Amino acid sequence: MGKLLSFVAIGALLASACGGGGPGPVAAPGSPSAAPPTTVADIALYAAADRQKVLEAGAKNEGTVSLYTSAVAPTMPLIIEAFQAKYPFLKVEMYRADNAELNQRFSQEEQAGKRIMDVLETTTDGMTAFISNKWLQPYASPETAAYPKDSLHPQAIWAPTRASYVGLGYNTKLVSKADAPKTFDDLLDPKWKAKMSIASSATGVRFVGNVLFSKGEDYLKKLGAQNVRVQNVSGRALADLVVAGEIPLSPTIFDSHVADSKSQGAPIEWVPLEPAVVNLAAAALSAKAPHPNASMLFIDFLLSEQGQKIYFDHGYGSTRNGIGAGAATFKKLYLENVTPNYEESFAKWQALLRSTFTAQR
Amino acid sequence: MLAGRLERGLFLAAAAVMAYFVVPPLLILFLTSIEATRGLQVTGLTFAHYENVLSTGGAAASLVGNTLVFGLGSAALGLAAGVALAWLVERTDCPFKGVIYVAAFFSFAIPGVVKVIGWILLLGPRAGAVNLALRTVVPVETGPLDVFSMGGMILVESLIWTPVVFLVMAAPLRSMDPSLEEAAAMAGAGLWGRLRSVTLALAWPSILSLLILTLIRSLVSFDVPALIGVPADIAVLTTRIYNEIRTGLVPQYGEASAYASILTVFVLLLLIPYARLIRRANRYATITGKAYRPRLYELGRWRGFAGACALLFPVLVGLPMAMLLWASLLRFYQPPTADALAFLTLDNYPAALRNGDIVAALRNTLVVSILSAVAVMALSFIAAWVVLRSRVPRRGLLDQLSSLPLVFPGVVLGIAVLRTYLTLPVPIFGTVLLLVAAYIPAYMAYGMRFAEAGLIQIHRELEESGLVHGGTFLSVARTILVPLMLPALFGGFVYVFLLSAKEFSIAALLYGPQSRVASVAIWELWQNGQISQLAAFCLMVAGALVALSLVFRGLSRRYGVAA
Repeated sequence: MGKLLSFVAIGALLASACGGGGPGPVAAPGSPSAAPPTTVADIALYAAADRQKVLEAGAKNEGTVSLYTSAVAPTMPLIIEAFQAKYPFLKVEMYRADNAELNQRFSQEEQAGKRIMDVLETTTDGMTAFISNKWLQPYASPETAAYPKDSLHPQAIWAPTRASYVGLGYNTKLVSKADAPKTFDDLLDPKWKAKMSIASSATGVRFVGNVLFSKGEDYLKKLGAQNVRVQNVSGRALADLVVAGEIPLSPTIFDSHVADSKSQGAPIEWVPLEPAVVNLAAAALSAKAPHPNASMLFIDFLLSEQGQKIYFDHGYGSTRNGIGAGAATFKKLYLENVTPNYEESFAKWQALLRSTFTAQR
Repeated sequence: MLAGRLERGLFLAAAAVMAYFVVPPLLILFLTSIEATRGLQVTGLTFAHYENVLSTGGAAASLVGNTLVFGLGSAALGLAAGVALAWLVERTDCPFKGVIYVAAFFSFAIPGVVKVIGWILLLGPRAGAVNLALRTVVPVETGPLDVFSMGGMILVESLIWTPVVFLVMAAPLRSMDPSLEEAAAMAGAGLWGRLRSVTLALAWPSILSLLILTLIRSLVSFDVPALIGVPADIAVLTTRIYNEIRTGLVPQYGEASAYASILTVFVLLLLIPYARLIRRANRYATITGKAYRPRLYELGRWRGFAGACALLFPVLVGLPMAMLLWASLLRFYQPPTADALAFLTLDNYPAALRNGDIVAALRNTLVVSILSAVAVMALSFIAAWVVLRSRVPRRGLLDQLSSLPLVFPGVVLGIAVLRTYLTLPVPIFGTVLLLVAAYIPAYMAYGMRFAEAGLIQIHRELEESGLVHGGTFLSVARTILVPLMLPALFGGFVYVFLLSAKEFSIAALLYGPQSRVASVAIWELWQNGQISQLAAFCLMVAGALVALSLVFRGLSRRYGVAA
């Protein structure tokens, strides 16, 4: 009952908040509508009792969903498999790429006026520019009732599908558990001088953002004096260089990579330097989605307990209530939520990363 | 008169096709270099990107210095090693020839970033296998070798170019008439004198064109400076420009495009002396109507030493790959020690194959790379003929058009092609043809190097006699030119084939659900696979591609002359 109520409340809130989303009134909750919704906005926000039936009927005509995702194999193919088993009349067409390519592709298509993508599943910080361009459509999914309110986008543009955490990874052959840093301050110990590396990617940039937010600029300067190397390899390769012993320790390592390596017996351990930055990925709907009914069914599925369990089983954190309870109990930082003007700040951190950790020769 | 019409027709056809592939991305490059953007919005026109590039270059003399040392060093080393190797393999009785070809093919088939990982595992100052071995005798804590250094950058980058130079030079050297060298020997010239005044002098146009290629590509090279230079804290123009100004959540390519636009001027300038040289192309022809028997120079007592020198190339190419092979056989990476043998496994190979629909991806890869290679070499063959043989005014345009894409950083070319085909009403979006449309301009300059190097050695009297005897361009091409040029055309084909098959920064941007290629899976493993699985997958794909290349080579030898 509580679930239904909050679902209804979100629907009503959206109906009033998102007038720009498209014409046409949202059917009164609980009462079957006379005519099925037709525009992307109407379908996305449709909240009447016959929603499931209406969406399925619409989806049968659409036949496919075009998904753009940055979730790597094998997670997303497994989710798609389960989704297609539930809705055998639908086929998910997947384009999987890194954030940069994904966003480049979507924005080029938008600017050319092409309608290709339905659902975008990628990290939330990359969506910032799309949101300000109004390329994404707010939606109401009954599944969001199972999520803590502060993990949802305030205008219901996205809901989180997966989370990963960034912290310290260290090689247990080179660094003993007792010795290993447990806090940001521990990284300043002279014995770690010239032994640390950080990622140059968005992960490293957000690490700088976290340090500034949690410890301040003075700390960052001191860390810079530790001769930290900047590595341009992928996050996964960075973790492997820790496993190999080439990099004794790095504060920009994903927990999921470490868990994966540890399960193979690799000498690597992960410590959350609290607060640990959360990389949140979410599902969003294109404002010009060619298959809006099928899209909503797919988004529902991504957020559902079944979908979230597949993510969780493949090393991702879930923000859905009741999934992975007890996991990831450390203090977390939702960096983009605590940072006003996130885009500008990100560019500033990027510059700071370079000026702090490279000699600018 | 008929010949004149044919020449003009071929020129116009080649120019039109090249322009179709090259001009739209170039226009988008120039446009990107002057567009002011905020977030995703174009807000106006600006020269700020150029100012940023110039002030970046002007701000630190060491930056320009590093760039020149790295660019010239890699180009010179790659060129010298490649020419020496081609001479040893094709003109002398030096041993290990087959190994050298296989090593060259392998080095084309493995993505650069993956090779760099191999180098780090080999020469990393803490855990590099070579350093661990050396430290048993040298009492130092880290090192003594460090891949994260200018030396490491030049070594790894020049090894990208050595096999290209080798392959381009092999064809003209192979069919060089030995009577010229013999004449020089009889005139009293020593080995070096003979090399300088005959062999190298005859190969000079090809060497110059390769120098342009390696120099420009080293100046826009990003992988090695990013993966080795940045941790070493050695900045060059590309890493500074791309990293520094690629700020914000949406990558901005204004500065990268401005830098590339500036380099187009360099390309055009560098082509001037080349154009002057090949205007008298006949001076460099060695295959004439005169019969000769290609004979190998006998190294005599130097044979062993030469063999050891030549073997250095497969060893240097093979060592990082051996590290990848070692990594692929472990549950998780650890340096090669006796203890590590306990963790040996073959599981990574089947595990790597579970990554998506690999059969469809491999099929798409074959279609894309064979189409790209055939298209590039067919176009290059015709364009090279027009440039070297015809008297059409402005035929140098074909060299310029084909060389300009050298300035493109891969990602920028990918974006430009994406923009082009989202705008043009050519319905190839979402198909493998979109990838081919990017690879044709990307690799055209290489194709032209191969085709021109192959054609310049053939004296025009051969085709003229064919035409006099009533042959058409097509019949002369089929019965005289293509068979004689086959070693060169085949070299270009294999090179473009392997490069298109392994390329992933453009592919990741342009593929679609129906046109996924194998390199996208490599890229995904790079993002999220353990090194062991990445290595296993890369080696499997590379092994298959190289095996296929050797089959192609066998076929071409059966058909061609002196191949």
